[in-house]
Amino acid sequence: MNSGIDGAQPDAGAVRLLSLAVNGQRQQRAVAPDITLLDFLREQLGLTGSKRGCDLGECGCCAVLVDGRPMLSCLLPAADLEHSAITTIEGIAAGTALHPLQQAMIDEGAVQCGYCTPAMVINGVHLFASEPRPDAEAIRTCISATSCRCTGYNRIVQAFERTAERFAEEQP
Amino acid sequence: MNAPPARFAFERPASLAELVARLARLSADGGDYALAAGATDLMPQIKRGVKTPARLISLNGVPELAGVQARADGSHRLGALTRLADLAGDARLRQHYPALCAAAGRVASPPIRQRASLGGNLLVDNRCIHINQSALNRAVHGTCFKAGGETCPLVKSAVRGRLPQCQARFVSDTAPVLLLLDAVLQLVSPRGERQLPLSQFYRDDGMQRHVLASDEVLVAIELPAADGLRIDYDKLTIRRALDFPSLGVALGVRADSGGTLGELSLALTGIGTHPGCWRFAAAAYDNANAMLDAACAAARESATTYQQDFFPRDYRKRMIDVFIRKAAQRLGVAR
Amino acid sequence: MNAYRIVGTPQPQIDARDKVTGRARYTDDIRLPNCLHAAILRSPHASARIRAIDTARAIALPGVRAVLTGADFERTFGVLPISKDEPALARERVRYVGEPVAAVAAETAALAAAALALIAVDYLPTTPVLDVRQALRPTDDPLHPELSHDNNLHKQVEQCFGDPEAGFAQASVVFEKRFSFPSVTHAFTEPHAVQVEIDGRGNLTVYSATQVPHYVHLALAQVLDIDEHRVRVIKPHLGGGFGGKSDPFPHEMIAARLALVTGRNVRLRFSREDVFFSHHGRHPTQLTMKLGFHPGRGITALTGDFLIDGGAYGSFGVVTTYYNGVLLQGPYPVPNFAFRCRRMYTNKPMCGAMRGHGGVNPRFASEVLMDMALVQSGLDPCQARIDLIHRENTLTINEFRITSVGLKRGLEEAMRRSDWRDKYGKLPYGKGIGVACGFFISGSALPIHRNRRPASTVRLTLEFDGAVTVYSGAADIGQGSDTVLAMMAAEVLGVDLGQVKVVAADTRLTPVDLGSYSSRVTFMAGNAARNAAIRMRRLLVAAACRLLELPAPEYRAPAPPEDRFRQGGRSPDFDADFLGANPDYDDGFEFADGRIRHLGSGRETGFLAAVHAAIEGPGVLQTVGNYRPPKLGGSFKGAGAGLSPAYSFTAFIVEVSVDPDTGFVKVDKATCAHDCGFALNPLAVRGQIEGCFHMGMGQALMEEVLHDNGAVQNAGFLEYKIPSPFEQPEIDLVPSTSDESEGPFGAKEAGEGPLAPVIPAIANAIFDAVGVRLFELPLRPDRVLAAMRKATAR
Ligand SMILES: Cc1cc2nc3c(=O)[nH]c(=O)nc-3n(C[C@H](O)[C@H](O)[C@H](O)COP(=O)(O)OP(=O)(O)OC[C@H]3O[C@@H](n4cnc5c(N)ncnc54)[C@H](O)[C@@H]3O)c2cc1C
Ligand code: FES
Ligand code: FES
Repeated sequence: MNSGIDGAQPDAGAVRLLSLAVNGQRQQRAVAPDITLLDFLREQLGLTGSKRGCDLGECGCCAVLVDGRPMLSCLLPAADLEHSAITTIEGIAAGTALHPLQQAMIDEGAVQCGYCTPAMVINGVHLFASEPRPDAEAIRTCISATSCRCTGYNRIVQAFERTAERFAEEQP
Repeated sequence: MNAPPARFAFERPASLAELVARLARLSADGGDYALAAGATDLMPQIKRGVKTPARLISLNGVPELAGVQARADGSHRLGALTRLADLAGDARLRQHYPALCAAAGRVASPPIRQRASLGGNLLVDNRCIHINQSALNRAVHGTCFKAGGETCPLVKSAVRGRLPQCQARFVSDTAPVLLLLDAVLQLVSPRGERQLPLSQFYRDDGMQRHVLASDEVLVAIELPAADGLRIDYDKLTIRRALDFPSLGVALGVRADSGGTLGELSLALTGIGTHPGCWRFAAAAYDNANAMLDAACAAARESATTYQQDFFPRDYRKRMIDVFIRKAAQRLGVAR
Repeated sequence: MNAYRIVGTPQPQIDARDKVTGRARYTDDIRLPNCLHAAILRSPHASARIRAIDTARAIALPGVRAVLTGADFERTFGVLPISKDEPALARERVRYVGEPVAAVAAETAALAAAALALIAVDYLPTTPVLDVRQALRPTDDPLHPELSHDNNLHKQVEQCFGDPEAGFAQASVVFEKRFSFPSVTHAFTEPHAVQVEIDGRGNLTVYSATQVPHYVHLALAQVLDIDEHRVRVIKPHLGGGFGGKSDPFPHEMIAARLALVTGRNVRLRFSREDVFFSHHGRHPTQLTMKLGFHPGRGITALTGDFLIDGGAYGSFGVVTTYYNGVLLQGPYPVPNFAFRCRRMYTNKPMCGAMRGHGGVNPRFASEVLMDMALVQSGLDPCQARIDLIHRENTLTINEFRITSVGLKRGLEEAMRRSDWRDKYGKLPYGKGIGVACGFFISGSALPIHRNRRPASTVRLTLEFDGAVTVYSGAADIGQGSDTVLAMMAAEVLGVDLGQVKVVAADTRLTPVDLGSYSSRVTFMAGNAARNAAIRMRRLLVAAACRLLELPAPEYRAPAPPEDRFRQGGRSPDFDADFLGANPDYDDGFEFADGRIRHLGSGRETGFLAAVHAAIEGPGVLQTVGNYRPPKLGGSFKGAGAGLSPAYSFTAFIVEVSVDPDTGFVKVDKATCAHDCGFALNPLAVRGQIEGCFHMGMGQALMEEVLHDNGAVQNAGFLEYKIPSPFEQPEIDLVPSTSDESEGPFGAKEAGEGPLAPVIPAIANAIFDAVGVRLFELPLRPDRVLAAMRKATAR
């Protein structure tokens, strides 16, 4: 069974087999039809780096990359993601080498309680992949995806700016 | 131990034909289902129990709903599944319809826009502080009409099924701009296909918000060439991120052949049960200022506001004029 | 003077790497084997009698393992021993919408939720008390009859110092205004969560998102009626607190009880809405304040009458009731001072401690009145404030001991850097600049539970391999306290930061610490950590002397207290459990780069060699450090409230634009002078100040918990508006530090004090911009616009 679903599939309410890639690894798992990607990641795969702050699309803490684009995993039915490639915060660093944004978040003091941090990084990784030298407006827009109550955002903006400078130095 | 049943069954048709066939069968069976595009509007409502469809039918596998086509005459066809982030970031579309791209870029937050579709945005449910709540909080007042109850906490005198109806407010950010652009909807159902101007789509009712049949699919949005129409869209929110419009104003100006203001058009969101839309032809007025005055008066008069949002009702109403005039300034019209 | 290697330098948090990679585990990230899921049934009524609860159908559901009601909990609890008025599950009556009424443990979360729907509660709704005025009216049926008041008063405090009437008579200007504040909430990003692990002997390990593991430990033992040693509370990574996680909570009692009755591990987490129900945020406040001022004399008198809305239960409310008044004793001298504060019970979620506890709303009032008085007197509001700030080493009229004050210089610098003189009163209409000051405690000098133990204790071990471990009960709630403790240990012992591990907030492994509230951790746990590290250093010095065949150094005897303002002094005084601010370690050795060098002879030995030599005897190297606040304060009733070994001082200068058409206020820039003593970790200090600004600006411009029939109407991040990155301005931080003789390395606090002045600074800037004063928060666009229209109509 897969969720290519022919029109008359009788067991759309039953547990289905979902296959997708998470952090580069193929996964085939039985999932209930109403489970969200966030629940799938946290409860079934034990990937708890994606955070649950509201479960309603309002806090942004649950962001992951779906085929390279940041999305809120608490709003996504997992069953809708057949054959997708998911990247969570656990899959951002290449081995022990951090993404430049991760390093900048550390160095600039952009991490306080850290609960918003995974989502900030996920959104940022996408930003820098599509626009290595984002302007101030693009940076703030990107950061606005996630509520942060600790930092007032200033250090996070700073970390993003530092990362943009680094990319600019690398590819002048 | 039996696991409780899933909140909803899920299916994902792979073509428009398959989708329509499914809809025909399901609606013959009484059809307790919901179509899900980005599901960014749907999922929160399902989680709060405001909507309880037995079945979710994902549109994301239907290729006919995706994609943007540009035609030589400057007109465009936007698939209903066009993601708001793609719309906002599309450089070519931005040349043709900058206000539409800007309005799409003001919806919700960046990761929501990556998933949210244009079709879903036109169909986003009306909101009210009494309905967008958990079951517990909805029950505190006696459940409102929209949640299946018998009272309206806003209009205490209202009786279900009679006027005044449910006053949940219309909140789509892209609808007012699309109205001014004379968008036409391409709709497909088991009964066939029809083209419907967006201007005839919405109804004055917080619950039965539009004329889309339950087995009907919005396939695409047809846009004529912008043709000298310049539009400004701005929304009233306390923050510059995340918030639904407490008021949204789209103002359009079209020069006549002589280069002076020929037509002024106006559409609102965030304020009533449906988006008002007005047009003012230069011929009927002394000058641009008179047209603006008329636009303000028409909007003000039509707007009924309720205490259902962050901003007090009278403030939202007062801001209609202010937003129209600020838009006019930005467009370089009058005062 | 600063020859430090580590303290005073900007350091990222020691666990930042875990946080950016998703490795950091927060409470709900823990996976316990064979775990039950718990869910809580909440009251839909603000006020009702519970006539009956029928749980039979819920228990009968396959997969449900236990159902609890109020009958399962005999004892009530509360963070303060004087107001233990909260039940874990409601008994006989419910007092707010969202109050826990019953709880279920089941094999899955979905089953637990399904079981809740099968519990039938028979309520008899009663008329709720929804605001403070109503709460003042006499009633036969108060929320808490045990207090024997004839209305819903919880706590009333009245204090008077000097002669306010005489003070007002000396004033040249007197202003009296009414102010009104809605409730605001912490809005931390991690919802409350708890997991309970039970072992074969029925011992509980409770993982909880809490700021106060020690208090949770005590409350659990009491409420569950089990021996204290059977409980262990661990705080994993915590996603923000701000005071909202500083009480023991019903859900902690519930989860623990469920574990005890089922013998299974239990997991429970809050929805975002649950967090709003649980609240404990800032008290809605109605207050009237009167301020007398004379250009030559300063403030001549200040009086206030505060009515605060506590919601359904006590929480920290008694402390809040005092703090509303007593925290007005700074940053300027107030020679004649009186206040009355009444905390009322109402049928709403309870209020408690929130960043800037009790001092924020009155500070808005006093700094707005101050501004009015200075403007009326023709003085520059910034320069005049500088002239008025407390001098060092003084006593306030209510006998607070003011020690270090770095704000005068700081505000002068802020005034210069912000171009105040070129801007104030000179900007075009719609643009304005404003200033306000504040002050705050660095930890409460008195404990909540009366006892003679130190306020903080830290244990420190040094292993054969050179690994240093700091054991502290203090809870890092995101503010970086683990980092600052590690920095101090590393500094004293001359090791790398990476060599120090902090084991914190585990009530079995770490010595008692009272928790992370009242800005006490850096100061108190910090002193204890430094103290422990210095003792460890002495063990190593003794070993080094043996190895190098040097005589052991003689340590200077502690200097006698110079006067009543300097009870600590600069030298370590082990008998008093106090070590002075600047570590003139005075042992004649330098610890650096893995070596220990005797400065006099130049002889040196390896650090590890000294460790090995020192460890030979005891087999393990372990030291303990304490902090005990000095005896402070007067002898009148309530003299203990607001006593702190040191106070922080803050000033904000804020520039705003006000849109005359919409009333929108945009903060363009802020300049901050914050006297946190010595900035142990400048990066963390900056982060705290920026975070305070965000929270203060939110309260100033948009935040408000809305109630409707007692229910929280905006229980989520979409409708409860915390500012986005677009609203947050750039913040220029000017140096404003001082050297606090009693703080660790001279430090005070930075986590709370900077919040309060943000709000009046914005209001005062709005006045400069458009000439209107507002006395009700938030300063929403509609209110600003209405005030402007009224002003032009006049
Ligand atoms: C925190 C938050 C903030 C938000 N802020 C805004 C905002 O500022 N402005 C705003 O406009 N919206 C906002 N939204 C709502 C929503 O995200 C957007 O309106 C979005 O564009 C909806 O698109 P979607 O594809 O996700 O719709 P869905 O949720 O998939 O669908 C919405 C409705 O349309 C129907 N539908 C969707 N596509 C079709 C189709 N092709 N044919 C027939 N029926 C269809 C669905 O059945 C459903 O009833 C916000 C949502 C959240 C969670
Ligand atoms: S958990 Fe808050 S947006 Fe998904
Ligand atoms: S660091 Fe705590 S929420 Fe962002």
